Amino acid sequence: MKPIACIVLPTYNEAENLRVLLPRVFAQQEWISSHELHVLVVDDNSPDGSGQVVENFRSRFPFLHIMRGRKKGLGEAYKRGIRHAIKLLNPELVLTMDADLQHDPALLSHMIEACSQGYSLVIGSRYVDGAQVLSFSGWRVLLSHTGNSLVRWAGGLKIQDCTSGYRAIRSDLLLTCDLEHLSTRGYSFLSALLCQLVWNGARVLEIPITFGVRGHGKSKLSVRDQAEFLGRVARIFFLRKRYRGALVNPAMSTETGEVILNITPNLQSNSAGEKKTQ
Amino acid sequence: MKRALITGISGQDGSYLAEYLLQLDYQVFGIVRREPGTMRWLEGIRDRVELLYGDLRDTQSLEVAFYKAWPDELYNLAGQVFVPTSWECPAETLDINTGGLARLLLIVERRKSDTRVYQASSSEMYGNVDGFCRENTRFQPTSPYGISKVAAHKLAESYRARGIYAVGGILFNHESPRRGPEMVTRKITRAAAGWAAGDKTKLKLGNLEARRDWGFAGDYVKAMHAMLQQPTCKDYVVGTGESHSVAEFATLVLAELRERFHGRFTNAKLEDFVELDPRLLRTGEIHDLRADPTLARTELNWKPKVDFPALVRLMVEADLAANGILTPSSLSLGAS
Repeated sequence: MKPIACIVLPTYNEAENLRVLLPRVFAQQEWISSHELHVLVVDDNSPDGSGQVVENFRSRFPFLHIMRGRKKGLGEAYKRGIRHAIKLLNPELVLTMDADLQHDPALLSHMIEACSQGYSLVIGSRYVDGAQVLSFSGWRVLLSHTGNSLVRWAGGLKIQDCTSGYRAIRSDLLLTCDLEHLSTRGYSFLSALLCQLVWNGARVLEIPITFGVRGHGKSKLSVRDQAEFLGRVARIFFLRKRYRGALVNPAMSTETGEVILNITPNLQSNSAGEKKTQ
Repeated sequence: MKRALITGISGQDGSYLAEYLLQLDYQVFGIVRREPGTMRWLEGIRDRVELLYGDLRDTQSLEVAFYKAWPDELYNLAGQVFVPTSWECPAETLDINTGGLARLLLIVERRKSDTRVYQASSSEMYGNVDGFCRENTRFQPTSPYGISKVAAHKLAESYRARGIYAVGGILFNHESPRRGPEMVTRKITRAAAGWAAGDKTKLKLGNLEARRDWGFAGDYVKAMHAMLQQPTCKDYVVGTGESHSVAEFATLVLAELRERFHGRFTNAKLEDFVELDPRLLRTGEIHDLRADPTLARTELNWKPKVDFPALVRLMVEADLAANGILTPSSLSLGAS
């Protein structure tokens, strides 16, 4: 059996984009021979029916899973998703991407390929040679560059794009990180996680991406996110000394109670179906 | 700045579309074949578009062109477009018209899956239909050309189900001074330039009673662009909603000459200039094609600006000018 690569896809009001994105993602399976592609949508009970869109697709895509929960921010959604993906699917790779169509699924095969060649963290990067950012306004460019430089400085990283949400991570590396102590809200989760991954010995590769135009809906980057981000950068700076070289708790050490879990029954029926076809 | 890649940029539609996209501030790339074709229509914009070599039958060349252009929008306008030729080389027609799109879609899905793809579908896909053709009218193609276009249209539809923004624009006949000389409208207006110069040979035509929905290509390329700007992608029928016969077209051409050369064509009858050549009759002739462009009108907010008589005038004028024939009316325009 092929190892699993699971995409953790947090959503909030992305119904229209999911309709396009999910078929596009699963179409990429044809280019990925080394891994079985799964998608775990972590939906924070979107009022626009994102959850229903996923439900409707589940008959078409057997490896599409959904997990629902209360809205507690992007970081929390990632944490929940990653934790459950690892626990229930035992994937070799965990991938993260945005659901708003700004990350092109055509890159998935290249990122997974790079993981097979010994990299443990592959980043779809907006700021290396060959990359393109199409959609940002001047203000967003400034914000993104400033944020990036701050994280790079605070974490002592040599990575060009520290805030990209398009990543492929080997699970064994992910398991050395302490997810519980990462920022819960907003976008700073991504950079905080990145720092831990690098401190814990990630072999990093950045692949240039074309960062596209948002499909439908509005960006959810808020002022509060930006404020929290600054706080987190400070934290990264101080944690850096504490974490360096230390072995940290495995991700699965704690479990939150309120998560509505949809994937277990579906998984079982899938594996049964697999056996029949073989 | 958005980037557009156009296959068949040197053709009628490609050149009009390139001009339109440049107006909209696009960066325009075009694929042309290596063998010398006409670049006449690109003369005005030659320094503002980047031409790349490629052939719809050659996957590698398309891939290289795609990489260089890295397009947000891809317009597949190249093709083997002449229906009679499609009977002489049906396999090649399928390879270019259907296989070409298949190669492009594969590259898109593999390399940049958010590229929006426009496929030039055709009214020839319908075959003989009673009444108006709509988006959901059944396709019953009667020629290898029509079949190749139906297959490509369905291919675009199947990629749409895989999340690719791929649109089949079902454009009815659209003409212009840049129309290929083998096409019946251009054949007539070119002959008209000869008649004006005193040539007495009769023009040989096939079925004079075939009716088509004719519009101006410059209008139609705007619909192509609009189709790729919609929130959800679907197919659209583009046409004027009225059909005219080949004979009507030729009659209007004569009327145009009559108006320009006072006295000379007063008693001209169609039979004096045109004769029927049974060898030019088509197998699988489609007798009447008429579009119902309601969806394009309501959703794309698209309306043709040039009507049938204006289209004829435009084409006759251009062919006269291309042959260096000045008419009294153009002389008076020049003087004023």
